Amino acid sequence: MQHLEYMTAAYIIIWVAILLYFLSLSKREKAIWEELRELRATITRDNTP
Amino acid sequence: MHQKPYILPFIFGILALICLTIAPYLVFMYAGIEKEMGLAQKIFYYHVPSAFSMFLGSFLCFIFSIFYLWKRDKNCDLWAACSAEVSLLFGTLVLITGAIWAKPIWGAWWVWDAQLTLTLILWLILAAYHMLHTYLEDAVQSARFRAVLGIIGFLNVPFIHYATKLWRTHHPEVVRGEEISLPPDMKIVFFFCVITFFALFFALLFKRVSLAKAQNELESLKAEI
Amino acid sequence: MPLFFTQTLAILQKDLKTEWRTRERLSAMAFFAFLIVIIFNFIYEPGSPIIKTVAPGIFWIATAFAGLLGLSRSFAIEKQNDCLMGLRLTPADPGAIFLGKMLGNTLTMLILQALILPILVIFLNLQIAQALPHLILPILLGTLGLATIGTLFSAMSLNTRLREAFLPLLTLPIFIPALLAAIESFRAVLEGSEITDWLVLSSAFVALYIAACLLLFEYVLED
Repeated sequence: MQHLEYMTAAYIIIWVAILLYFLSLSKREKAIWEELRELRATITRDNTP
Repeated sequence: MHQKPYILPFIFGILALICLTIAPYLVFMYAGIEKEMGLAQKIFYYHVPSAFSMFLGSFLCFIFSIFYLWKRDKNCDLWAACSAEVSLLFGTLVLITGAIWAKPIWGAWWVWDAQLTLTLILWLILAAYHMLHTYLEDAVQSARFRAVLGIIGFLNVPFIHYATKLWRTHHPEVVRGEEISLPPDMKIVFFFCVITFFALFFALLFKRVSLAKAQNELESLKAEI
Repeated sequence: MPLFFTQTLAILQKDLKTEWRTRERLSAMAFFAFLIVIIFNFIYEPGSPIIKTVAPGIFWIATAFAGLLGLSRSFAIEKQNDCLMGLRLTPADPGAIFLGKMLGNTLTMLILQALILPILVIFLNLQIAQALPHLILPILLGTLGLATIGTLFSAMSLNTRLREAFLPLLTLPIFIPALLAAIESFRAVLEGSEITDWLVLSSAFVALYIAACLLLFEYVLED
């Protein structure tokens, strides 16, 4: 098995990088939706005395 | 208002997932092992499609930038910026896997091969685009500047291509590893990997765009208050 | 003469006049270029034959870096007293403003290069007397290329948080192909080999980018 370590390294880097990028996007989006929901809740609460 | 069900990112996400489960099987089981390069040759199946995705991303950025300046649609700017960012990710992968490929085959981490140099310079332009994105203040103006850089940057691609080619032929000592005619089994796997990476590219792009849209919504809501 | 060119000439004249009054920008650029040439000498053994092959590179690095120093001031001076606003309010075509500024920067850089070449000849012991006529065209094209994208980005970088410091980050990646052409054709002229391919590349670069900047400059100026 020639150059197994290089191939493994390349594949792992690609998988991990794409996965991390995807996870960070999801995390950021989730946080934003959370904040949006809270903001909207406070707005409706303030508008209905 | 509820979280909108984004249908396209979902479809592309599923497609990318399916392709990603089949691709490794094809790469490791179906495609033969190249005699001279051994397993390192298998890097090629992910390295080249990543490069294609990178070029697709910068091309999309170019098109959306033109549309932004023409129609002044905020969405076009958003799509341009997002495709540039995803393109930057794939570019980084191309450079890293290129280095990992070059070490066993050519004996050095970096070789000034024409294609690799082209990728590197395009990566630099994308990085500059990304920095411009973060260093600008006024929202409308920054969208315009981004669009200008998106157009100017992509117009550079043919020049870089021609220049690096001329440059390399003037220095013939560097090994060139292009134009390998692939045997049919490798060809099929390669095409499948290209499709996989395009699906992956679009899945990430849609995900990135939905994040950007959510950010915009949050900002406009904050501005209202 | 068409109005567009009258406007271009007016802007060019204004820039050259303000520059000539103080010569601040040019002297700073010249000193910086001189420093670069001197500093590059310390990389190599004195009198080493490698100097001959790197001289074109040193010439262009000095031009590009000192040129960027000057380019960054090109619109920064317009920022004082809101001159940029005044320029925008004139009936001048944005393309004409761009072209005038660009030609002004090109001229400044050509003067700068006329100063760098003798320094190279003296300090690197470079023989260029015979090659000089063949050097003019590649140098002119390279300088036009640098001035074109530099002028466009000079107006853009002013509005970033880093101000002028951002200019090289935008300009240099785009300038690489033209820089490569400029350095390689300089070297080829010194060696007496063919440079047509490089000239084609740099003239296409200049033509396309001047056209693109003429079209895009109005979006940069817009407020």
